[in-house]
Amino acid sequence: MSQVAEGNLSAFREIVVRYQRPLLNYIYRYIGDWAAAEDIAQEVFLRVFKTAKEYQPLSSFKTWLFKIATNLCLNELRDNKILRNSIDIDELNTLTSARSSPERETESRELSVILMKALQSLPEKQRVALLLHKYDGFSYIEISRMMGCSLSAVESLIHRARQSLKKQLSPYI
Amino acid sequence: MSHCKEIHEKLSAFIDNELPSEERSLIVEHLHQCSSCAQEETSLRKIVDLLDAMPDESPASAFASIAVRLAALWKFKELVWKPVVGFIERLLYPGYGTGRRCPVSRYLCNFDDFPPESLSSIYISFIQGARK
Repeated sequence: MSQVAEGNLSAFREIVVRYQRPLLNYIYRYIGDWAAAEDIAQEVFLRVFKTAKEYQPLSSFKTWLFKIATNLCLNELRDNKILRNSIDIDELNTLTSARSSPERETESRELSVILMKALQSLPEKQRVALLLHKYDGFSYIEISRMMGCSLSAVESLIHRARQSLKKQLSPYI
Repeated sequence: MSHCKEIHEKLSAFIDNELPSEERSLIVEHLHQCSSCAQEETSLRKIVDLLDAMPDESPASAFASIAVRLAALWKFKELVWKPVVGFIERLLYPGYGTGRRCPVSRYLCNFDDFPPESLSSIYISFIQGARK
């Protein structure tokens, strides 16, 4: 980061290469809209570049990066700039019960859509905690720092998220 | 820790290896004795596996788009923002012309990290980087 602060573009490029995939997938699973996720991911990297001089290494760079992304996602969702795929639990139930044969289970695309919908139906905090842990490998303690809550709260959020997914995805497990 | 409800609450942290070793041992012991909790643990693990199996989307390289946005940002700062800030500074700041810059405008012009000559190099570096 100190190199980025000095205007070293190849250092910045390395950051983009290293983090664009996990970051973009995290944002996508958070807000459920690929085009908007790309915009937000770009915005995150631009902020990194612009604020590199002010960066204080109080936490790991990855934590800082994902915190920026989480805040931007929250802003977007709260400002209703993104029309979230409205999650209709009945629709989800129809999708999960419409499987006519076990063979269809292997259709990963269909499953991905169902999983995305199930993820989107989770309350925001549960979704953030689960995604940060599941897809980006953050420990519970790191998540608690990022979300500004206690360790036991993170434990509970992740557990409730999985319970909810278990209920919704019961035909698949 | 012997009650099933308490065990249930800790199962996700158990699966994620987020529990201290003593607590973990207690849960392992309990799972050997309680089929209901063992079943719950299996279901949660299946959910974890299901999420793990969800394919990652592959992003197109963000370089080109970011380079374009940086260039647009630079253009706006250099051609619009800085002249406006300079004009206001000239009007309102008594120290203008003495070599000292108005602290406010220095803050507003914090895009000095994009001098004109760096525009092409920003773009070229990104494109070269994307091709590597």
